[in-house]
Amino acid sequence: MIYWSLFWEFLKIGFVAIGGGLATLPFLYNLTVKTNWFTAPMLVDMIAISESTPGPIGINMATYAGFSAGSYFGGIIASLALILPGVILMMIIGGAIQKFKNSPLLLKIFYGIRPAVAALIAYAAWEIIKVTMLTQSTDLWNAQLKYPAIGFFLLLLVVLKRFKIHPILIIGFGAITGAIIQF
Amino acid sequence: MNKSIEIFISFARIGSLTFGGGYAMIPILRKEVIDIKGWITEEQMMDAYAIAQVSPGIIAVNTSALIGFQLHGKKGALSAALGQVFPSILIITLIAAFLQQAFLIPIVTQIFAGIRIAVAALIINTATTLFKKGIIDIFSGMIFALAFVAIVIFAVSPVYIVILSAIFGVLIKTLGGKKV
Repeated sequence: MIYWSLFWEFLKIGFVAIGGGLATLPFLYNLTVKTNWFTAPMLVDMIAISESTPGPIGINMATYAGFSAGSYFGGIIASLALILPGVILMMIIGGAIQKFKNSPLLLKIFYGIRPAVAALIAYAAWEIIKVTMLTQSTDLWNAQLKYPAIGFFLLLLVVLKRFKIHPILIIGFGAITGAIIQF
Repeated sequence: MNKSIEIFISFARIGSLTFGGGYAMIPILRKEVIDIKGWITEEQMMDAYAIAQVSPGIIAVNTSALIGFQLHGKKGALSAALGQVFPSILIITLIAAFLQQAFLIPIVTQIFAGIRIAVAALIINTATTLFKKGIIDIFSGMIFALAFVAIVIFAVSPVYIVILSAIFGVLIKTLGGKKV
């Protein structure tokens, strides 16, 4: 039955895909070869839509792929199967953290991890700045600055620093400005 | 309100406002569970995010599940994870069923170019707060610098960065003893 095979295939992806976002992509390509659920060109549209709708890209892709294969229930089953291994693992890890909350080893581990998380977030910021504020170029030194985008970015940053407004207002402002000005 | 339902609604709100997965989630998550609800600390959020990075599955969902667990045990983990994915499943199902063509037109692409700039500003703004929590002395500053260079210049996977920095943390704190 299609629902069982969807559940099983996406459960397997949920077990092995580490690194989030597009980490599920190679496995989905593999499904285009293994099954007739959807084709590789369809995947490209799925990526475009998944990246521009709210929510984690992996979940959006799974819902989309599951929908292509098994309609409404297919999308739900694929997404839930994908998150199941991770959620169970988080329950186990969460329990362990509560138990060893004050263990010196755990404190040492988190002492090392926190600056690395700061670096990962700085990297995310750098990647998104590259995509939005520099022109596409083979190497970084030849890329041109996109001044309108940079100006808008700095304006938003000033607004964020000055006022404690909800992030969604900034996103809404970005959407409206994007509809008017071509960045 | 029932705690599970409250958690579900909060994370559904986070899921519906996050454009672009794991990293883009942090500013929205921070607003909801730290500023508005006061459920966890900045440090707890960073720890959950780090653990989610090195675990199988979807980073945003795992982060939510781990925070949910700390709030309300297994029920909390489940409510947070389901809340996080609920808007995605709803929106994508609607698009896949009815709106696929409308979504691929140029004006939509242009709107998302604007949204991406907004997300960049949000991430930078949150990053500056998290730096203060993560980089507390010279050694954590060194870990930050090494991790940043490793990932930007050498394209090392975040999975290894988190694992190696955990090992560094243990080594520095153990060898440094009370001096650090």
